[in-house]
This record gives sequence, structure tokens and C-alpha cells, in this order.
Amino acid sequence: MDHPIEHFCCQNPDCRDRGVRGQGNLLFCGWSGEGKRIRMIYCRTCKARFSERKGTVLSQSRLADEKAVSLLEHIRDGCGTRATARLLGVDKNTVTRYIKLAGAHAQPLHDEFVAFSPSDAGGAVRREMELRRQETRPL
Amino acid sequence: MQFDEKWSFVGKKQDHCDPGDPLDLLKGDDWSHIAIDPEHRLLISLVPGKRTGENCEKLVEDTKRRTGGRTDLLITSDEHSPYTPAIEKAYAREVPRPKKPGPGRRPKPDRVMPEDLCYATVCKTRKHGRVVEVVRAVVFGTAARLAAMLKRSTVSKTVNTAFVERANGTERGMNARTTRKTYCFSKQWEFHNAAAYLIGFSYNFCWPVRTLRVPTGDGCRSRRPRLDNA
Repeated sequence: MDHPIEHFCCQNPDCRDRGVRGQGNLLFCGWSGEGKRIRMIYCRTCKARFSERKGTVLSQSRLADEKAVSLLEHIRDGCGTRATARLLGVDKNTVTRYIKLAGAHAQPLHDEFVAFSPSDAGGAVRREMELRRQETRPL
Repeated sequence: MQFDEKWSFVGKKQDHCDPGDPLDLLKGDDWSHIAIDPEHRLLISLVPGKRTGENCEKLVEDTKRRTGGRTDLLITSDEHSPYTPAIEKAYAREVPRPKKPGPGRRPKPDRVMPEDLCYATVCKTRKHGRVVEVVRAVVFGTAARLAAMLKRSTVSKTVNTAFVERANGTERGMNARTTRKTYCFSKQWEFHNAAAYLIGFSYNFCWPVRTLRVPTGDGCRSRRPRLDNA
């Protein structure tokens, strides 16, 4: 799936626009990879050039996108490492490498996105449900 | 908020580890400490590691940080003892005591728990693998406060840990390394923890929870704990 340029941000740690989206400092500049499928991005601020996959699990990936995503979906759905390797026709070390990569990305994403505010009733959509009566003992 | 720990192992089970073998230091039981919000089924915090008080403290601290330090919570867990001091350490505030007249140093401040925080435990007694007795106890807070919290809850009418246990079961189904009665297990900690974080993230962002679905005019709309609730 091709994302628009507004979804990307500069990945250069020395750039003053690092991590900020929609600044207008990025533009697509060419292609890379086997079959020239991966877009390259140029940052006007720091004049760095990097792949659109940088900062993702697919960065430096030698597998096709569909296969890499499928590998993680197999793992996520309870398929073991060796079974995933057999089903996708890859080496089991490839599977474990992707698990490690994905875990390394999942942890900071969890830290960034998951926060819960219990008093904020407006933020959460509470479902209405019929409760079964539960037997309780007096405290 | 519900706290629990989920058992798994890396390399070999703890009883099979030799304390004198340095290679076995990197093997043994692993306990993923989990905090979950029962109303939204949101996995709030995940701390993999040994079943120690330190990891319980990490879990409680992390939960407090992610909830913005709010104290109007109903926290439930099983009777794992380190949770009580961990919750007290995280949430108690110090109230200075007046100094008595005369010589001597100022007395140590009192540690007072917030009035609106409620912590209750569930102790299950089993006989031949069946639960025969459930004892619920309030550790912090009052029975009146607990009743008010339960009245406010949209999913519970009693103190329970059912939601975190259900999430543990779901996670065991999603992660082959923690599935019971199979030959799958992790051989190294780093891969085990990576898989735990990957599955935790997948549960929050990609897993449509059946009981969260909302009826619409032409069927049901599925929802995921993090992506569709916030």
C-alpha cells in the first residue's frame, strides 16, 4: 500500500524536523530495491535520503512485503516458528529474526499509544450489555 | 483494573534448572505480569520476567503512569502478596505528623492511601481442580467505596479477575510459545519477550474482541481494544 508523503517523517536523528509529519520537508525521489518497488524519500531540511521502509519492521527486509506480513500474521495467530517456516517456505531463523524485529517495534509503539484514562467517560465508548447475575458472598 | 501473572518458561522449567549451572541462569520460568482494563479489554501494561516483587512494582508503577496518576480505580488481583506493598508504594502519599514538644527528631510521616482507590483480592480455593470456594477481600478502601465502584462498572457486579484471565487465555492461543500441552516453547529470553510484546500489541490493535462488538442496523460492528475504543 502506497502511503502519501504526509504520513512520513524524517528519520535522521540529527535533523531538526525528525519525527514531525506534514512539515513539507519531504519528497519522493526515486526508487530502490529489487524491481525498484521501494520509494526513496528526500528531506530538504537535512538533505538526507532514506527508504520509505526505514523505521518499520520491513526495513532492510529481503522478503517480499506480502510474505513478511504473512509471516507475522502466522505468528500472531498461534502458529509456531517451525510451522510458519514450513508454511511460508522460509528458514526458521528468518522467522525468529522477524519476531525479534517486530517485538522491538511493538514495545515502543505500546509505550507511545497505550494510555488509559478511567475518568474520561467521553473518550471511551462503553458497551451496553445484559449481565448475568453473579453469586457473591458478603465481604 | 485487573492484575495477574501468566506462567510460561524459557528453555526448561524451573524445577529442571540447576542453580549451579551458569547456563541455566538464562532459563526457567517466566511470568508475564499483566494489567488490563476490564471495560475496554485494553492491555495496559505488560512486564515479562520472573515472579518477583520488583516486577509487580514495575507493573503497578507503569499502570499508574499510563492512567495519568488517577486514583479513582478499582484494582483487583489474586492473592499474590507483592501487589499490596507495590500498590501502597505507588499510590500512598506521605502526610507529615506533628512534632511533639521537646527534644527529638520529627516523626516519620504517615503513608495514607487515597480515599477513592479501592484494591480488592480474589482468593479461590480448589479441590480436585475445581473451585469450591471464592473469598473476596478489600485490602485498600472501604466496602461502601467498593460497592460504589462496582455500581459504576459496566461489566462487573462483583470483585473478580475474570477479564484478565480471559485475556491470558486469548494470549495463550495467539502465542505458540505460551500454548499449553504442545511442544512449542521459547529457547531464549530475547525472543520470548519479543513475541510477548508482539502479541500484546497485536491483541490491543488488531484483535476484534467478540464481547466488545456493537450492534448496528444490519449486523454487528467489531471493535478492537485500543483502536476502536479510544
